[in-house]
Amino acid sequence: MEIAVCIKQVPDTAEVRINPETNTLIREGVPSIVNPFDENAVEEALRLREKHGGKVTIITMGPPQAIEALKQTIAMGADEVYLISDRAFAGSDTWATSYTLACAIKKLVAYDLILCGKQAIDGDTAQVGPGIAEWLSIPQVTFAVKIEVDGKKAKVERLLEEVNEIVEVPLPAVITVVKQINEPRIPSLKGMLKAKKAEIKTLSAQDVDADQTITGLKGSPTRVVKIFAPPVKGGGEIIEGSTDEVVSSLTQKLRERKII
Amino acid sequence: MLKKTDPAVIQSYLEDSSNLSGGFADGLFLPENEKEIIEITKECSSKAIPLTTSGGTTGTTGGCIPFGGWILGTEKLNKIIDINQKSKTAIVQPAVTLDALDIELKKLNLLYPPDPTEATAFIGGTAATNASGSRSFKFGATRNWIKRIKVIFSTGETQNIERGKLLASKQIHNNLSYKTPNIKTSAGYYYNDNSDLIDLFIGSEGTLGIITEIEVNLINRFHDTFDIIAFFKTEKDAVDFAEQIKTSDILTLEFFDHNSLGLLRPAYPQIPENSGAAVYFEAEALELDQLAQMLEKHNVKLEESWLGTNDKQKEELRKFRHAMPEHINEEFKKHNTIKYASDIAVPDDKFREMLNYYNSQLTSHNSQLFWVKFGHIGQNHLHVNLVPKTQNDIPIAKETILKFVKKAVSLGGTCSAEHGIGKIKHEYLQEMFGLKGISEMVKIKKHFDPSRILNQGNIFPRELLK
Ligand SMILES: Cc1cc2nc3c(=O)[nH]c(=O)nc-3n(C[C@H](O)[C@H](O)[C@H](O)COP(=O)(O)OP(=O)(O)OC[C@H]3O[C@@H](n4cnc5c(N)ncnc54)[C@H](O)[C@@H]3O)c2cc1C
Repeated sequence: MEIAVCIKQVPDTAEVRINPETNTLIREGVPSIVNPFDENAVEEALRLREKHGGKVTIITMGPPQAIEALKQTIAMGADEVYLISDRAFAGSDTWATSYTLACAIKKLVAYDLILCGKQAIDGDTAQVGPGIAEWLSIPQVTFAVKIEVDGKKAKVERLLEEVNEIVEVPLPAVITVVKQINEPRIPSLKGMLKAKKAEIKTLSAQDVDADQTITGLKGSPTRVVKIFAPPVKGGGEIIEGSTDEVVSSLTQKLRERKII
Repeated sequence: MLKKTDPAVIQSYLEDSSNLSGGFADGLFLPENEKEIIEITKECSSKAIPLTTSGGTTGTTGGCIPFGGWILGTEKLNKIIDINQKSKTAIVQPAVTLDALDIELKKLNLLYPPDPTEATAFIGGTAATNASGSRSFKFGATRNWIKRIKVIFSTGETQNIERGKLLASKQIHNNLSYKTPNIKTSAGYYYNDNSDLIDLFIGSEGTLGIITEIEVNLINRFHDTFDIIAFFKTEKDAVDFAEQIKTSDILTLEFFDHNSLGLLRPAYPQIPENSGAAVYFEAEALELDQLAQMLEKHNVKLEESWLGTNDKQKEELRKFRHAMPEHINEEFKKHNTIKYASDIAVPDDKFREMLNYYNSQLTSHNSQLFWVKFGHIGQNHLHVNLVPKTQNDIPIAKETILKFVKKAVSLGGTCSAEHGIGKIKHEYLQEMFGLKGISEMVKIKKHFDPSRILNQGNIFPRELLK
């Protein structure tokens, strides 16, 4: 089974600070990590390979330093990795990014399955995975918490807000995963030694046959109008006292607010 | 000043992580400044009321648990007074937790190296017990990082004790014959011919005075470290490797025996089968290729060694290390027994002999006793925990630990490398220093605490204070 996994290098939000004046991320000095959901996607690909055989190819579009993110996946056990990097890609929105990644996948992998994280923790759009499926005209299943592959189809359990939904999808397809799907493995020392020595193949827009009117800022229809922090929610109220007091006070408050 | 006598409030000051039961007290003081502490000590001294100081109550030996008298809760003295980036020092009040200090230091890219696992411990408490952590392999115990302390004595007098100013031997006019061994230890008052007065107070378990201010040294945080857990076929392979890696630039060096891995396996099914032991270490600047060769020489499969390079992975590996005491404590709970565990360290050249002794004793008896050996192999300091599964096993567990202590003492080791003596290890301290040594410690106590009210029952039995 040939699996392609798309990953993104993102700032480690555990370390991120916000500039209070502009409300934007301060990126200087913040370590970069593999987007956590993408790590789950890599892990899932490796597990599927362990079960069904085949090959796992990791693709990222990003600046040259994204090589570090790719090395991380080699240490975990990925077979092949590619960096898609070109000045022409600067300023890409989700439309242009999913187009570029779709071009790369088409060029590089005889894919049976494409895995992505459900979203990147920096932009939180959750659009790139579905976008790739559209560009490639194949089915997509989002928010996967369980994937079982059986020949030319997969049974996927989706983690929705109130219920889990099980769907069957013909392959090839794009599946985006949530973090509950698995616990990414700790890399082995052997994997890391391999990663350190690995030469990372870097491909340009031309190398992946991308139409340059659809890539980068030029190819991006999205315009950011304003970035702002959402208003802070009011704090909750803690009711103290004996059980009877708490119950009657709570029911009274709920009545006042016409909740019951 | 806040004084409380409500039994429900007092109750929460009668426990720490030792499971020692039976503590009681008439009341609780919660002073907000040094002036109030001076008033309390004077009052208790004049009325001969025992006074027990309480920190974060995370201690493992019942040190903060009172058996009568009043409790002095330090919790309101929780200010970070100053962090000086230039001199890399910080001045804190005693109830600042390790966690709270770290949050502030992180912003300045600074680090206070002592890392006794439990981050809710107060810095005052860690100074009073001379706590260690896994990084003590590189950085030593708490005492190495304390520059100055301010102490209030039971007389109400205050003294600033600064490192490098006063020798302990010059202060105590009795000639003392006992000496603290030159290994990782927190057993009894730290004393030798050239020891600094400040070191007598660090690790004195609150028996000499109340620490009200602490000045510590800091270093720059480091970023480019990596953590490895390597699994070995045999215990011997692991110990051989540990001995070899010890001379490299590493920060921590920890060991898990075969039974430890068995205990962790249900939670960590990825632990390779047939592992006889594991070693966990944190390194700063090691060449991975060289390291890999060294591991392979000791029969380690590189594909079975876990490597953490980013914060998340390192955190995972640290969790694995922390899961060890948690799991064994669960075992004690499950079998409804108090904790039977050693805290022994021995000199470098005696470690193998001690390890052989552990193994021969642990396998010599015919019982259901379950044991694990794990911990700070870098400082020749393993925690051997014995879990009795039947009533018959209890005396065997007790006797085995006492035998370990005797053996360690005969090798120049210590009965308590990091947790202190508190109220539960008097017998072991006596094995280590003899009656003469203990009586000398009693003299030190009486010298600094003439009314003998402070932390009675810590280090030696309170009867000796009469
Ligand atoms: C899960 C867990 C893991 C742990 N791991 C480690 C470890 O790896 N290494 C290690 O060394 N310890 C470890 N400990 C033990 C514990 O964290 C330490 O003993 C700690 O140093 C005690 O700090 P505390 O503030 O809780 O003090 P307390 O328990 O409140 O008191 C400890 C002693 O210090 C005295 N004291 C407290 N404050 C003062 C003061 N201001 N002046 C004078 N005397 C004072 C008390 O009277 C008492 O005798 C662990 C504990 C737990 C629960």
